[in-house]
Amino acid sequence: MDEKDLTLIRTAKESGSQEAFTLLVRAYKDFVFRIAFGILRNRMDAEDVVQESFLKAYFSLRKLEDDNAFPSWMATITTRLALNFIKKRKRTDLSSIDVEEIQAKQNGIDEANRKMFLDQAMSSLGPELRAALVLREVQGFDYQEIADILGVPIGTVRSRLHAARVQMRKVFQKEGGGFNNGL
Amino acid sequence: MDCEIVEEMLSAYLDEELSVEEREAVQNHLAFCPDCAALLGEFKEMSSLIYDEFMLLSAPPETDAIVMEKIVAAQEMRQNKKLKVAGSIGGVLLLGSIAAILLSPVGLALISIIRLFVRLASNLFSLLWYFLGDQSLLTAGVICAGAAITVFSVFAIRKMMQTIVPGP
Repeated sequence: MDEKDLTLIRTAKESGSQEAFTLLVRAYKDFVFRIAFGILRNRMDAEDVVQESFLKAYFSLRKLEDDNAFPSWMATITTRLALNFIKKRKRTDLSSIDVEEIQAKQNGIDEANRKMFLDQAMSSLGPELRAALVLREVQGFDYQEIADILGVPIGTVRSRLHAARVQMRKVFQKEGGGFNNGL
Repeated sequence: MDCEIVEEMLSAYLDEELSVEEREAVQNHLAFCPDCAALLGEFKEMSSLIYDEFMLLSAPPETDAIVMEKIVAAQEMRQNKKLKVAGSIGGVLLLGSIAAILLSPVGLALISIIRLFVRLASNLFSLLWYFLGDQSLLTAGVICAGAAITVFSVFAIRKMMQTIVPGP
């Protein structure tokens, strides 16, 4: 996080400046969206959770003690909202639009298949495993940070990440023969 | 260290979350176990695949505008809620104050005075009703009232004219 972001956080926090918060949303919307989408596997639901996360962040920004912790604080809000969203909806379906979108962005068939299998593999995981995986693989949080975000012991993070990777490997092997066969 | 134990540690090894001793033990095992080394390679490839896929994703460009619209709407709603709560508290306080005054000695005296006024008004109304029942008395009353208003008006107009245009 750079000095510009810190200034924006301070301004939004102290004066409730909507201009400063708008710039923060612009800077962090992709970060938040990737977490939400990683857990929900549905673009529309992820967009709803992103909006709700920023709304919640705006009204509780004063509670943020350490401005440097803004990214992990946003990740905590988003992860918990996304997991609650799943609990409420009881559905984690992968929409066909998302698969098509990924395929459209790829040039080769192999690459498109690879992405599709990755989607299937991620969708086969439970929401808690997906949350741990996204926070680690996409956002690069360490185990202690993930434990704080998810509100679980560090040992649970370690076992969840291991379980997620083993499960994903199984799906890859079942669907396309694994990584070594040019998937 | 056998493969089963190492496999369970590979994920944390990849994430650099093992202690120095554990890390060394895994490294030693990987040096002579091609199966575990291959598994680590698959985990690494999967990691980069996940990262690459997610870097293609981005939130819709209108996200910030939608979020700010929702913030403004939520602020208005909170403001209205506050006003409603303040109104309710004010109402309760007002009713409480009135009750407290009425139950105090001053309030009891006020109630007695109000009762007296109500009785007086009631008697006056009965009296008026009695006279209204008699046609001749009603006519006389209307004529007297009309004459009194006319005299008073003429007197008031003269007084006003004297004030505006003072005499020589």
